[in-house]
Amino acid sequence: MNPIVLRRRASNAVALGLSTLATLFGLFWLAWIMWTTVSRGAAALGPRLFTQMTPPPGSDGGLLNAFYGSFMMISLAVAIATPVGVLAAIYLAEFARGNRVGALIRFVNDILLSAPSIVLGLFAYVLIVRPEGHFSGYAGAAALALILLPVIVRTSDEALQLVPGTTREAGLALGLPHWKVTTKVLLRAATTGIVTGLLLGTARISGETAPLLFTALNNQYWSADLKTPLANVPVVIFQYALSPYDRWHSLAWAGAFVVTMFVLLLGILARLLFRQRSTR
Amino acid sequence: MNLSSATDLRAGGAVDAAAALNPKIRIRNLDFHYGRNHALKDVTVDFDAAVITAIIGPSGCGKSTLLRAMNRIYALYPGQTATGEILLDGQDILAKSYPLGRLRTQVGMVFQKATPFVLSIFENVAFPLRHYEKLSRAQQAERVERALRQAALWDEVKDKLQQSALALSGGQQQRLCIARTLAVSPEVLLLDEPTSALDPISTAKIEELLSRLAKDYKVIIVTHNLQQAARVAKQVVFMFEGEMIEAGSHEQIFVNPREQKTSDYVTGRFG
Repeated sequence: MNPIVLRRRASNAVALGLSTLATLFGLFWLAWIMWTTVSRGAAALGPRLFTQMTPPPGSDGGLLNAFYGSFMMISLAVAIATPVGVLAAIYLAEFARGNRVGALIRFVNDILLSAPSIVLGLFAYVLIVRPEGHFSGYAGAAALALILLPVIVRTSDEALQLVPGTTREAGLALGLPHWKVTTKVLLRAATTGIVTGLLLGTARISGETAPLLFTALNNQYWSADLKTPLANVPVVIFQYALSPYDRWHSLAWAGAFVVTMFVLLLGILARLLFRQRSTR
Repeated sequence: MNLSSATDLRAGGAVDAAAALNPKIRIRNLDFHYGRNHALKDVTVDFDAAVITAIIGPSGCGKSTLLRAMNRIYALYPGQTATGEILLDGQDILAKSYPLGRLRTQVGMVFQKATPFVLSIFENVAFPLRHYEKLSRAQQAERVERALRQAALWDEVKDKLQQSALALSGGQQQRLCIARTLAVSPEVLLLDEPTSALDPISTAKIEELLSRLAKDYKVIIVTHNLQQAARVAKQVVFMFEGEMIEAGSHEQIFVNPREQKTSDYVTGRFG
């Protein structure tokens, strides 16, 4: 056979082989992590995990209060950060195109995006916990909202900028005011991008531990009151994993498994949404 | 191109003379800048009422720029400026005092690539309409149907009005955009290479549609397709390197051009 063709086939095989290996390398660790959390948490994985409170050392229990606390704080953080973030993105993408104020805000937002989460936790501590005199779910939600906000601003800004310029022009050419074109036409066209960003941002704050240590702290018992310290999954995992008790270890692993699965599901959901957009 | 193929030369005469006396749009000494780039140089030209005008010329000659000046869509971008006069029925639309919203209802625009909104077919037409008029459901339905019929799309979409406009074919999407523009009752319809992304059958449908629309609207089409200009337009404007070289009847430009550059372009020596 033609030597050029042979050489191309050989290099194709090598490149394909290397990329397959790289993929397997990445997946291997993910599978290992999932397997470790399942096998070590097996003792605690069961209906009890979702129906009972965190137990004192030596007795059985679940993580109900921690799941509830995490759920409340993440929901509140999403409820705060989404409207603010999307509105800021609209300003950046539609009304501050190519001007200095917009560039400055984007720059500052990118700094906030890469700020260590522990810094934002301390910020919420100084701002809310210190003046209030006690740890609270509200402070935890505020810290999480501060982490989520720049993610939403960035992804929504990009989603809006990806809407073709002619769509914007077509709306304006009908004589519609810019705000109406933005809310009725551009936001709709960018919805999947914005929701994808929101899901990925939510996945990110679901595993944050450091900012909650200073704000929501933890709570051994059931509390539905956001004004009190709240149990939450990441901090419970942190404390139980460091403890000397086997049952607590199992609970920590089980909690880790649930959080990982939750993040994985959000990721898959985001991918599905994204695929829906690109095939439309 | 083969000049003898430009067969459907319509008879000139009285209509042309009347239209020329009362142009719909008059452009006087128009200069256009993209930042430092001088894209239109002292353009003066009249657009006759009641005929289709085609603007032709090689890529980058300023034909789209000229079109985009006529509804001030360029105003979206800082750094793009137009000086001179564009008179629509005698009023200068470049004047700051001329209300932009009104201008854009008078002068509709259709783009090279179809720009359906991420809404249902019905809403694509009804939503801009509702901005201007308070209409009952029945009135909306009636106006949407009328616009879709005008754009020769009704029969193809009447059973799926609630479906996403994005599911339509490229040619249907383009006709939907025309329907959407017609729904707000413009006087002038600007089209920027509306068929360059379409197949021949869709193109033929749109050209047919334009010929019908020319009875009620002033249609101005930018095209790089000389055959298309020959087929649909009665008046032709030839642009070259930002200047208006020659404007005249279809017969003048394609059969007896006065300028050497026009002659070279329409006979395919360049461009």
